[in-house]
Amino acid sequence: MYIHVVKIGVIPIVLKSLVLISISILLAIFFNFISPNKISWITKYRSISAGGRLLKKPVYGNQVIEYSDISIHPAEEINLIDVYKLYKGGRAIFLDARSFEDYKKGHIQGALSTPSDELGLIDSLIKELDLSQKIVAYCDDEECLISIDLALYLEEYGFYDVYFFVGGWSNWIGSGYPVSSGEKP
Amino acid sequence: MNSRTGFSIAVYVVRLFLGTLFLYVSIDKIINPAKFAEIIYNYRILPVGMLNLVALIIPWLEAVLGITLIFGIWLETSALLLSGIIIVFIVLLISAISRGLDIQCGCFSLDADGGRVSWMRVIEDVLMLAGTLFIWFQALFKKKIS
Repeated sequence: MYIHVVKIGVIPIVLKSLVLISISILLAIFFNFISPNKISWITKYRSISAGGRLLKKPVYGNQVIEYSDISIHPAEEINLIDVYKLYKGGRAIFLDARSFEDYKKGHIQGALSTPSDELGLIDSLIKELDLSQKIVAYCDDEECLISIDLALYLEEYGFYDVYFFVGGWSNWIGSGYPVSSGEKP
Repeated sequence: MNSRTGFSIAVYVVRLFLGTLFLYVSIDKIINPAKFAEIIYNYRILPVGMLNLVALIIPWLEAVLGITLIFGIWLETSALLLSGIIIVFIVLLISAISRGLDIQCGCFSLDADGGRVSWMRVIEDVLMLAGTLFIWFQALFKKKIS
């Protein structure tokens, strides 16, 4: 019985792989140098404190925002006590970043549904708002990050009084605060 | 047409298809590296500092390997490298699905409606992997008989 052993030249494969990878890297360096959409090789990021953790959110484009006035602040975390104060004050708009299905099952009373994957809906809503509008974005709980994404999206758009409520829906309903269900706020 | 000719044509078609596909999907990512980096970020696996590095190099690797597949250059190495890349994609997809992430795939298009992470994407990648492994085996076999 013959057993065919196919010799695989490991060293040539490794060398050729290195050549192909090097060509790709050189092309990437060259093209990124001349491209109008060039990005830095090391990602710039912003550290955001949320739910006791420090998250790193990458920053792209010209998103450098100067905050000179204390009433103007970058999107930041808000806890349950403060979020309820804002709720009672009645001046903040609450945005629910979860899916519309979850929103219909139950949401903070008065909150608007802005599912994070429906950017069109979010865009049409925020065009009607003044950039000074106080906004609270929330989602499920500490494990969910889309409220932070939504808050940062609003910040990039130009809103300067935006909060993300990391405790979210589970924290709110657990405290017995006002809730609604169905399609309407 | 004997069976060997038929086989060669099949290999050529697979090479041409996969080569063109990889070249095509790399273009959007090369033009919009920031968008691609954000998609990689959403998988929440890579350290944030490395996102841009990966987003800049991977598309060019896809493009170069697409070209080598189309023109039949270093087929054994190209097919093996592409298989490795596709396996990484499959692992990333399964990891995202198992963590319940509903995110943009970034597989074929960077558009918001360009397809989200799903088992369908995994099946597509497994089929592509079968194609690249087929090319690899064929290149090995050819080397053996030559």
